[in-house]
Amino acid sequence: MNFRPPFTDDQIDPLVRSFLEGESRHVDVARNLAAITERLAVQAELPPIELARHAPPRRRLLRLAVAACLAAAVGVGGYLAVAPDSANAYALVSAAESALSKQLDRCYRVESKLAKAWRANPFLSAGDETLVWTRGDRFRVTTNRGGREQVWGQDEKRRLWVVCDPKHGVRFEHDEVPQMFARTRMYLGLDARRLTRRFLEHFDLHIEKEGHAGTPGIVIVRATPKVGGQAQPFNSARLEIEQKTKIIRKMELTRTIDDAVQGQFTFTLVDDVPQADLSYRLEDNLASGGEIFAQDRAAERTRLLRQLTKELRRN
Amino acid sequence: MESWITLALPGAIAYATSLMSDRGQGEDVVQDCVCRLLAHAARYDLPCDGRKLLFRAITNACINRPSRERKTVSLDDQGRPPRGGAWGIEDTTAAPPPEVVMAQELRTAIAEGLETLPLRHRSALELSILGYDSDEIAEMLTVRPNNVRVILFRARKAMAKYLNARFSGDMTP
Repeated sequence: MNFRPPFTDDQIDPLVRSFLEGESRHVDVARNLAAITERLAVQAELPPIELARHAPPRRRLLRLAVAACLAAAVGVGGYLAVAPDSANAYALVSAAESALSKQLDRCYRVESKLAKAWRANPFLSAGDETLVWTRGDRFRVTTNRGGREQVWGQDEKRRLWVVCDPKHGVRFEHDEVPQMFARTRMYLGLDARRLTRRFLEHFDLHIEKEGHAGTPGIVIVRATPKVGGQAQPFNSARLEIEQKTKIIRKMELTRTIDDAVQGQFTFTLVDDVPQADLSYRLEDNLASGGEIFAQDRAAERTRLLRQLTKELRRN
Repeated sequence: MESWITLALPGAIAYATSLMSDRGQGEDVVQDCVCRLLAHAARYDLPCDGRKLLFRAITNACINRPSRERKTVSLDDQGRPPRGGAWGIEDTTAAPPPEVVMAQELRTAIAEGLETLPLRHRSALELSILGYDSDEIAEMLTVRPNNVRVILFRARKAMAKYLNARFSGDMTP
């Protein structure tokens, strides 16, 4: 192939072909096949999608129209009897989203149950105690493991950061989050506003009646992914929302495959007092003079994060 | 897993990655499309038509996918060159031979050149290179075959122009 410019139109096809072949050599086929198998397993758990039937012959249309009118009449009654729960659930979660958008500090205690495969990611484990402070889109996660505190979070520019030690921290721009943290952030990050939006757009929401009797003032909403919708990181969620303030008191996210729980994360509100000294920025979570490894020092950043991950796995 | 999937996967992911300009999203699109195809396996002769249907599904998914979705980068990918082959930090201890550097530069330039093309132009160019004819590309992009030929002409022209501007006389072997 002639690499020398000027390039002619005829050379574009071989150049792009060579580029695509090079790209396809880097594809991890085994990992992708495993991911497809996992997705298929999740799909198998969902009820089948009803397919549209063939259009009926014209002569039956009149009879169908009459039947449809009757069904509509019955349906409206049914809707009035059944739909309010669903509608209230959406309204409630929508109100919770508005409540979460206020710049107020809230602290949730996290408990997690993880399958063996998920324990390889040490940031997913709740350790002895994990607390998540959140303010709008910002959050700060502290995990205590045997007396050692691990801190990571997201700042006002949606940059994800991790404290490696008091003197060193790594930070990722909003569009370059490592895959390991993409999942961790999804479950533990408690970017609650984004999470509630996900519930509103991609989940069927229903109010669980029994919640009313058990805990007055708290409404329990159950969320399950919409049939035929996009694949979601968790298969079910349970939200306990305070009816008056619309604050999420408790939230449980569960990921199951073949009826086996792979990961379950329970967030319980423990504090909502404004924290004057709480910061969601990496700079303020390092000792003075601490070094930050960002995009401009990508190789060192990756090395530091790998080293930290290894240390956490050992512990 | 069916053998046609295993065979089609590398090319399909390379294609989707190029359209999405992101490996993570490319893989996500392909996995999603394979699952959807398998869900309707009874309707199609997948061992025969699976590859073509998969590329059609990927094309539609990439064109329709909202561009605002978040990009992720695999930690595993950070130890090797990114798309196009350019290293983030130069390794001064073992300088690669000039032809390797030149090839890497060219790959980076092609990747960036493709990103400058409109999505349909990029898609048409790559599908054509992958062996699909104008009628098939027209069907996938829901345009007329004549338009495909125009799109291809413009895409090649734009790529050549981009590469020539990029390497304007200073590319040495």
